[in-house]
Parts: sequence; C-alpha cells; structure tokens
Amino acid sequence: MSWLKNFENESISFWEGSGNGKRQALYIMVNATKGLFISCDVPMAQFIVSYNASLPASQRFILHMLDSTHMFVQPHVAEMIRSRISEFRDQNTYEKPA
Amino acid sequence: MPQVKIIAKNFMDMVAALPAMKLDKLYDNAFICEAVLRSLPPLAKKYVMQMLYIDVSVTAKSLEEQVLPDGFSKHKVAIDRLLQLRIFVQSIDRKRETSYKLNPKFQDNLQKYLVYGGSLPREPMPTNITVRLPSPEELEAYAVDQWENFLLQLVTSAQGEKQMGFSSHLLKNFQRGLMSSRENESPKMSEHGFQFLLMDTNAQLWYIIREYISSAQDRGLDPTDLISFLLELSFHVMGEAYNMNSLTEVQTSAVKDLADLGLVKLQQGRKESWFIPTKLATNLSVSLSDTSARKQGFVVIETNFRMYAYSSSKLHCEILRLFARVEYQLPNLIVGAITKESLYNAFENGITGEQIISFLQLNAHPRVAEKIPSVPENVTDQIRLWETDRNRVEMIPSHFYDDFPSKDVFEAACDYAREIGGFLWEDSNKMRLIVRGEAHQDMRDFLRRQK
Repeated sequence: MSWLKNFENESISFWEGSGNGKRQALYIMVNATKGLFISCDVPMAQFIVSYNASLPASQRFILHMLDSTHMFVQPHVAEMIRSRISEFRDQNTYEKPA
Repeated sequence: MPQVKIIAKNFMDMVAALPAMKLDKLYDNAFICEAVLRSLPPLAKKYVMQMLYIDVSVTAKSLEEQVLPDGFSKHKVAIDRLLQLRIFVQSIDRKRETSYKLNPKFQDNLQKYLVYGGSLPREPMPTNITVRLPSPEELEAYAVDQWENFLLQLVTSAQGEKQMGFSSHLLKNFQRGLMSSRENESPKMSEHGFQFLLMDTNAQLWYIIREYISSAQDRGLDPTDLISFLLELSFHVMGEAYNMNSLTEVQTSAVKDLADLGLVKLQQGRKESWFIPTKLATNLSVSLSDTSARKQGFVVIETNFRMYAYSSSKLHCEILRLFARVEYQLPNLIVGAITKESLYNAFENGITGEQIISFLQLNAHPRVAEKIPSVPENVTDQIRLWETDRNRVEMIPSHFYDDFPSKDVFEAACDYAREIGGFLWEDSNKMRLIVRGEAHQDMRDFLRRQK
C-alpha cells in the first residue's frame, strides 16, 4: 500500500515539525507543495529575495531558494512580484516631460 | 512569442469551412466555381481540369500512380483541399477502394464556363448615363480615404470620442473582436485591436470581411448569399459603374456597408444610382495574403531613435502613438521618438516587439526602404531587448516534491516527469523535485503506483 500526502498551499514547515516522528517505512510519503517555480537572472533573484526579506515574517513568500537563479514561492504572489518589479523599473527610468 | 490569432489565411479557408449543404448551394453560381478553381493549389487545378470531362469515378489509386514519390505530400494536400471544398466527392466501394468524382454541379458549371465564357449577372452601365466616372487615381484615393476613416473610427471610439456615423452593425462587427466593452464602460481596444491596427491593409480587410460574414447570421441573413456576392464582386471590373437595380435586397444592403469600408463607391445619377467597385473589392477573392502591391511607406527611423513620419493622416498619427512618443506635428510631418516608456505602453496593450518592428519595416519611407536594413539595427535590437527585459522573470505554476523515501523512487519520479514533459528542476542530493502544475495529477498517480 502506498499513498501520497498532498497539502496544497500549506507551508513545508508543517511537515518538518510533525512529520518526522510519524513516518512509517511501510508507506511512501512524498510531500507535495503547490506553488510557483520562478526562474530569472541573478539580479532579479536578488531583488525578489530582498523584497521578501522586507516583509514581516508572516507575509514572506519564498518557500525554497533553490539556487542563485531559481526559487519556489507561494502560488498567489505572481501579480505582487510583477507589480513590484515594474515599480522598481519605473523608479529607474526618467520620462522627459511633454 | 505569442501567435497572433486573428490572421486567417484567406477567403477560401472560410468557404471551405462551410457546411456541405451551403457549399453545394454556392456552386450554383458559375463565378464561385471559377473563384474556387482559381484559389486551388496548382496540382489540384490540374486534377480538376483532368477530370472535367470524365463522368465516372476515378479510383484514388489511379491518381496516385501519376505521382512521383517526392511529390506525394503535394498530392495529399491537393486531394485534401478538393475534398474539403467538396469539389471531389469521395466514394468507397465494396472492395474498400476509394474513388473520386467531380461534384456534378461544379463540373457542369465549369464545362459551361469553358464553352460560353463567363458573363456577369450585370453589365457595366453605358457611359451616357453615368455622367462622370472617377478616374482610377480618384477611386484609389477614395478607397484609401474611406478605409482610413473606418480605422480612425476604431481608434477614436476606443478613446471614448463621438461616433462619426458609420452604420452601427458594421462597427459592432469589429467591436466584437477588437474591443472589449464591459457594461457601463466605454469600449476599450483589446489586445487584438492593437495588433489589428499594425497589420497590413489586406489582412485588415480580410479580418473585417470575415467578421462581417460571420455576423450576418445574427442579422438574419444567410452567410452564403453574402459570400457569393462578395466573390461575384471580385469579378467586376474596377472603375466601371454597375446599376444598383440589378441587386437583390440583401446585396443592396451589403453594398451600402461595403461603401462605408471603401470597397465600392456609390454614385447617384438623375434617375439611376450605381456602384463602382474599387481595388479593395477586386482584390478580395485573390488569395489576400499575397497581394504584393504595397502602398508607399512614410516612416523614417534614425539610429538615435527619432522617428519622422511623412504623413498628414490622423490615423497614422494615432497608430504611431501606440508605441512611440509623438512630439510635434507639422502639416505633412509627424515627429516623435521611440522611448522605453512609449514601448512599455505598447507592450502593456499586448503589442509585441516583433509586430512593431515589422510595422516599421513595412511602412518604411521609400528613401530608407531601399537600404538594408530599412530600420536601423540598433533600434530593432533595442526594441527586442526592452521587450525581453519585461519578461526577465518567468513564473510557472508547479508542485514541489520532497521527502522521497529512497533514491530509487526519486529517480523514477524524475524520469517519469521528464517523460510526460513536466520536469522543471531537481536536486538529487536533497532529493527534491519540481514539476509543472499540469502534470501534478499524473505524478500523483505515478507515485501511488510505486510500492
């Protein structure tokens, strides 16, 4: 018998806390988390990381920093990150007044 | 690069998509038979001509025998097309052998056509009634003018300005596809609308006509009547006058709509009224995509991103405003610049960098059009760079898997993910795997099966 646990939108820490002791050799317990896979260049990754760090702990969205150009984040933050980036871009450009 | 969905290849694709009953009805008209014949690929034309005087079915095998091995794909395309248009009628006999026969109506009409030649249902009017016909140049100018007015209407109504008196259902036609209008909101141009403005005239015309035909049903008209009339229209001689009396009621109302678009020009004499087809109309049934006669361009782009557009047309100004910053206008010149901000505006409206570049290249002023490249490379490169800058971050909905019980299971899962094309990332040391969201269900089923 084998089965798969699937906690959608649930953070991994839940498993780290309560999962370890209860794991039984009989089952295949693969943990699945729903989220967004982000791939970008290094500066953009740093930007996202620093944005994440600026938020209060309860709102941080990066679940796993995979490597310098990839990360795994909570599923609902796509729009938020996009608008942050475009805000940042706007700050760095200057439009000649008409 | 997203595909622009609204470019349909040509009129005939639409005809081919009609249900069989309607197609058979269309073939009652000899002109349509000819128009359809003209639209066929060369090999298909040959087959039709070959079979024109054969009254019995010809087996598929005997047709295939004429084809050299490397021409087989063309043969298949030709046969498919003929079947689609119901020019060939397929039958399968008891021995499971396929054979083809020409559509009897189509065959009959073409045979007659060969013998008697074609004659239009209406003759050009004698010149003593039509007092003064417009010269070809005037007619061309008129067509261009009408067409631009029509497009301008699209732009300005998107900006919430007042309508200029086009027939309302024509407007509704493209509002359906090109504008997104919500209740209590002035219509806004949709992504398609912006892309539409950057297409060349033939593609635009084709799009509008297609919408016009497909909306005919809502207005209680039979689309086949419209199609056959439009095909017929394309056989009229450009610049000749044709009497309005010769038209049916459906056709009269269609002609009036087409006049708004600049496909025909309406004139009124003392007693009679007549219509004069313009180039736009006669081009209609020709495979619209390959009419190579292009209008003269007007845009000069310099390497310093400045843009000079020699045009007095308000429409051109509006189109340029989509992606460039217009700085000032002289009577015959629009001066502006392509800036990062203006481009971002365009990107936000769903216009792609490639579309902007191809618009600039298509409309290059004759002076720069001879040069290669007609638009400076640093400008096109920069447009592409700015576009990719917007897409620096890629986000893919996915699932993250960890806590694999053994290396074997982990590797099997990785392989399976690759197999179904959902694999995104893995870390074999820590046994972590990321797979596309669509593939989650499959992954789950797969992991369940692992004991």
